Amino acid sequence: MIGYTLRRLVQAVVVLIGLTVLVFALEHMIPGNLARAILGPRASPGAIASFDRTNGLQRPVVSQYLTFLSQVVHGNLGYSYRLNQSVDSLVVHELPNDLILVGVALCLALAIAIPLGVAQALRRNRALDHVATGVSFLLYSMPSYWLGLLLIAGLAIGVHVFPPEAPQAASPAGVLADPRALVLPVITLTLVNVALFGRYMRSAAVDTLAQDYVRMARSKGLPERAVLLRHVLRNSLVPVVTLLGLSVPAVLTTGLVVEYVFNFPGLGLTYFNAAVNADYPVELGITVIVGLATVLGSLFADLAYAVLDPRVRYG
Amino acid sequence: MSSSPKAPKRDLRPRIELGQSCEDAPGKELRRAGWGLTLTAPDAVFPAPRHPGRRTPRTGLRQAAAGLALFGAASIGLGACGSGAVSPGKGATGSALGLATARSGGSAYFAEEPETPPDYIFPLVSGQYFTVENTSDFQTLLYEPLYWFGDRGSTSVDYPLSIGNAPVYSDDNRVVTITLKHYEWSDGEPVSARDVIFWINLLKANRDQWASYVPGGFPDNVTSATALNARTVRLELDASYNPVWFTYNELSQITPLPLAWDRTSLAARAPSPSAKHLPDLTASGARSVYNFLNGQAKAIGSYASSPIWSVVDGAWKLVGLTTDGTASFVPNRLFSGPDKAHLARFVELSYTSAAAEFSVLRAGSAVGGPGTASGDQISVGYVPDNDLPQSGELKSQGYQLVDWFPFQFDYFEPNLNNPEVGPILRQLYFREAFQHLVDQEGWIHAYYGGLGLPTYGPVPASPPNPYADAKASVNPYPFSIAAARALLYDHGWKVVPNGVTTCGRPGSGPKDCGKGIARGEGLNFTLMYPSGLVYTDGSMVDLQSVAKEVGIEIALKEVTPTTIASTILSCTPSQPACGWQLGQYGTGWVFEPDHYPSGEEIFETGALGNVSNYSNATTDKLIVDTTKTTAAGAKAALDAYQDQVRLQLPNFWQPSPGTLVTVQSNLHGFSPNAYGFISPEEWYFTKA
Repeated sequence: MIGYTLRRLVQAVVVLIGLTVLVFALEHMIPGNLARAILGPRASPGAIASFDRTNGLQRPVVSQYLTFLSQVVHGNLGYSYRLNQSVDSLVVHELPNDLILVGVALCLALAIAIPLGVAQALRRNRALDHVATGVSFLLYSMPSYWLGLLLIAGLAIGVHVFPPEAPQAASPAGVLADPRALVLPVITLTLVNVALFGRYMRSAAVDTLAQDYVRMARSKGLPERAVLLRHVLRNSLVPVVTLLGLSVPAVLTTGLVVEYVFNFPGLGLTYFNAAVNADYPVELGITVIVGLATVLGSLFADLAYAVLDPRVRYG
Repeated sequence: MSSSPKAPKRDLRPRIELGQSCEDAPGKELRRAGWGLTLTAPDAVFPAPRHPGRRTPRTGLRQAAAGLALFGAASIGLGACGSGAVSPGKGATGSALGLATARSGGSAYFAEEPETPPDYIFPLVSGQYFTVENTSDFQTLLYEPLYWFGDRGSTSVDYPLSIGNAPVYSDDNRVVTITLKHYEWSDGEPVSARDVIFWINLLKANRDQWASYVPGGFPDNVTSATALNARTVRLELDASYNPVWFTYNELSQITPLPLAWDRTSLAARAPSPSAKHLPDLTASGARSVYNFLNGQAKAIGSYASSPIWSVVDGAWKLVGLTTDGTASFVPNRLFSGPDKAHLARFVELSYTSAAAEFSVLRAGSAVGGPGTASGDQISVGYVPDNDLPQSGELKSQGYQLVDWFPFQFDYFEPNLNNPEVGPILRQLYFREAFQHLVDQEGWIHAYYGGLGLPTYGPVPASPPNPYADAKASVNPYPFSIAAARALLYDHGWKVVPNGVTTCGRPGSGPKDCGKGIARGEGLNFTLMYPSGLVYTDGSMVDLQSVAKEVGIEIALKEVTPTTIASTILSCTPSQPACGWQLGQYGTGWVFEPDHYPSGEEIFETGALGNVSNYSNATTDKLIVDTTKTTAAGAKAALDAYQDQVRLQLPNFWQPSPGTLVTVQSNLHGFSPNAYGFISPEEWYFTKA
């Protein structure tokens, strides 16, 4: 297991380097003058030269990339062209709040989706299954942007039950101290994820229920509760764990939409704005962070298989 | 090219009108003994326009901040020197106060535009931080510019609100003398002539870091700057300049800086004003000072506690700025200016999107960041373009709605040097035909939500200003497909509606297609425009559709604003960067920080803002005239310039978008500034 983990970590480093090379190359292939994009069309030639000099843009691209890589190794993700902050400080400031928002939503989604999926599988093609499937499809096909706006229109503007904004505190403690403001963004993320995880869970549970070992467990007279918990649930969780491991980038994607709608500054929106505004250091820095999280998430998912399924062994 | 439309500010300030007898009033001929020079106050030439229904200024509001009672709509104005006509400008809040009672104190919340939070405090700001949020909404609250412009929607300098008295020019307009009023920094030191010199020294040594720097412009055109005494600065210029132009476009760029900043490390003691040999006096020293201050400006989180940035002369002191861009201010109790704040606290709220801001407006209360009490509203916000149809809902919620149009003109660009279509675009008749296809009134109605002003030339007729001549409000090229078709036909084009019109009569004669255009060449163009602007999306598609009717094929290319900024550049035909054909930025030309609507930065040959590569000797001469004429000749020179450019079409005119500002029902004193500044020190709440 240790050897396997180490190999995967080495793979992760290779993947990350490849990712940064790709993003770096793509950024430099974008046509147009970067300094003008940042400084504006009225920038003087002197100002452009000064910007290029300050940011090392007059050097060959390979040299620029190596400088970037060296900085990353030393824990320096770069300095934003536009936000007057280091990328490190942006990540340190925004990532914890993102993790709270997405983490709470994911936990809630799993807490709902797992039993719901099993229940649907047990009552396959009956009323509960049909209703839950319909609702899942409805939620899954609904853009989270639209869902968020609907919730705001109904619960913040319509009946004033919840505020239209997510918590505005800068610290995680401050965010958690304002649970009312967390409700709408968390509901938005949760509903979308319930639909996703619920469908996977139902499908996996349907498969598991048809397995011989389940039939055997029942035939041995094991109580239904024990059958479900020990055999059905545990084995059905494998695809959901895979999904969880690969859903780390959702911090950027789904989170982006919620951040946009609910005024919750986070990494997703920062990344999007960086891409739109040619803020390359921010784009690259967040790419590194998210790439790292993605490969680690995938690794943890693989390791979790071994816990869930004793037949899985990594040597 | 300046900022995008955004929320502004308004006032209750004392204002001196043309014809008043105040010493500082514009329009006076001054002669000051001692220098043997005839000194002319430049604003004699362009009197401020009279706003409809201006009210009589009254003294007392400032003194009575703690208990002022307002006597209906007509009682808000202030007068610095006697009475005058007054009434709120169009859109000024506070016009329906009824029997409401003003109160001092309270917290006002101002919605920032999304994506560009304030993040740079040092007024010598480079292009990457040159945003409205940094300059007009943030720095000027803390550090007063030498001259204040745009108050109450006026396009004139506002001397009563300025640190500097009206500058006086020598007979030959080569020497400017500026006297300062008594202002103090928050550390107790006076704002002095030396502080002005400090700014100029920093600029001269760090030109490339100054977003507004134009080679040959300020401070290049100042050959010497001298502090004659503590309150008098004398500038000697490299040529004779139009005093109005120099005041509005060059002196407008000065922000006095405290000598407490004239050092190169925090460990160094803050120098005293009487200290000699301060670092800014040499170029290398001034560069070191800049580097130090720029470095200090990178620590956003410590702005409020910084021994550097806490020395202010503006109406406000910063007490907090989050990395997200929420800025909190309290009044500067030592502020020396005439408008001391009525509010106890002013907070600028950052938003991740216009949609998020609008949700908060509609919900009626903001979570609002650190320190915002539950139930607090956005005091001054804006209606996103997408949501203009819902403005009625906001009105029914009690918000006051104020139209805001900055002093600007809007346009999109032809690339006259494009190797393929440049020869076509260089033909004036073609540009005239193309301009006839721009349905400005229709666009404003259909795509701008009614919130737009047509543009007919380089000096807009609205907002009311003294610069636009009588022709400025007349469209020389009204929307007419027939006129466009006739112009093409008359110049040898075989017009094919819904096809591609081709040149049938090449040549450079007056009835030919024009030089460089081959027989059979078609009218095919690519037009690049920025994504995310409702009105631009609609209007460009409309243009494409209308152009087809005269056989002009336009391929639309929607890209990010950054791509636009890095692609639509001036160029020569042989450069790869000259591949763009038609393009637009999505923002107009706002006259800030150069407030005089002359064209040296956009229409003069080789100007930095002249990305269409327009070059015309007559226009160049007329532009030079606007900058170098005498005060007496300024009006005529500006008229000649604008009449030429209006008809020459170096760019294609299109409507200027406005912003619909929302103001909390019991907040008063707000009105849009012509150049986008905000003055929350003028705002106050009333009891219901």
